[in-house]
Amino acid sequence: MKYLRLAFFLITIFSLSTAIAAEFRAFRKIATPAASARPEGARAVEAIVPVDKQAVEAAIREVFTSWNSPGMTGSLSGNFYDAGRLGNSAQSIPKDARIDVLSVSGIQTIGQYIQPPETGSNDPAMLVSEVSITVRTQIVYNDLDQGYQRIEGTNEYIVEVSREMSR
Amino acid sequence: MKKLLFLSLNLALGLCLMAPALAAELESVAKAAAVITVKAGPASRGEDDSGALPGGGGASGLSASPAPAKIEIKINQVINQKGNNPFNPVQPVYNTDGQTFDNAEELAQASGSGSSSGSNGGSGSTDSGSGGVSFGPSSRTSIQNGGVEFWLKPDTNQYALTSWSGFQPAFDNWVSFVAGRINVQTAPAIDFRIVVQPSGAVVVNPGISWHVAPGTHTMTIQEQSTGRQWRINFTNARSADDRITLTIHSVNRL
Repeated sequence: MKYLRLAFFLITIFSLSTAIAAEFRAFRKIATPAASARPEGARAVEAIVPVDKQAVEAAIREVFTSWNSPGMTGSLSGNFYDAGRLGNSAQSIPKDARIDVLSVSGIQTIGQYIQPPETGSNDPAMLVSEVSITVRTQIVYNDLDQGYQRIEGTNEYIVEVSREMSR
Repeated sequence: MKKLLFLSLNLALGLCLMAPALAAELESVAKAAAVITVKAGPASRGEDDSGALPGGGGASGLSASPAPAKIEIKINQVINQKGNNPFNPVQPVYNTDGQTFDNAEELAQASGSGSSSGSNGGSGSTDSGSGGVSFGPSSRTSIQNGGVEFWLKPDTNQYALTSWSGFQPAFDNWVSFVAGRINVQTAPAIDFRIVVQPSGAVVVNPGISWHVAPGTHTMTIQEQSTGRQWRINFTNARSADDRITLTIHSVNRL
């Protein structure tokens, strides 16, 4: 009986100490402003290397070819504000409306980081750049009441450009 | 013997109870080690900004591929400068200068009203004195062989900034005209520094003055005392008779 009581006491002590030890020795990352601006696991570059402007211009022109099509919202990143609402509003775009890119200018790399692959994955690391592009566009379509319409606009596009890095 | 048996039993029980906690600790140690390994990546790769990133040039410290790598592009944000925004979440077609309308007729009426308000507010007016210009798209042209200066009105939401674009040999070198380029800078007396210079800019005075070619550029300025940053999109143009036109398209707080 005495031994049983002692055994029960020791078991209780062991389990308590285990719980306390686990809490005490937990690892908690200390967040920093620079790190919080990048996705988890991303690595900063020592100096920003400007992306190829011709490649970026070709890519942004390609994005506009999917405007007023089911793939329109596919060109938006996860950070685009209210992308879901844009997807719904796109249903109201006149079916014959198309968009022409009149000019692309002011291509500038404003941020950059390296996204390593997932642990255990064979995928290459990605160089992700934040680029500012100024694009002048024109939407054209036939309105039943107002006739032929041309709607111009100039906007600054902040885009995310991803490129595989050579191993 | 009994005591030995008893002690062994207790030890075994204790280890069994501690095992899950030990496993969790080992896992978090492994994760922390992985993070540290990634952050301390090879410094000898020598990333530098000596050139663009395509496949061809080996000037970049990042490993170059023999052929231009395919890139993927996603839109993070669209900042309206003038007219229509084809990615306006509320109304992609019937919108202009930040306002949306229900149909083409209303849009046409609004566009024909003569309003010139920018998407960031303000009337786009110019000001020749020290009172500054309103926040928003704004354009000024200098006199022949002169410079042009912009101030943003200081108030609770905006800050004073001088952006000088011009060439006047009579002033200090940081406003001089070099090799066909136009000088853009912030006034050093104000607490602003250029932290991301315009594309292709040639530095004259780090943080304060660069020469940039005529065209549309983006630069980021930082208020030193608060750390706050703004991205400014502008266009420099030089006419044949040596007049400078500087147009500020947008000023966005980061």
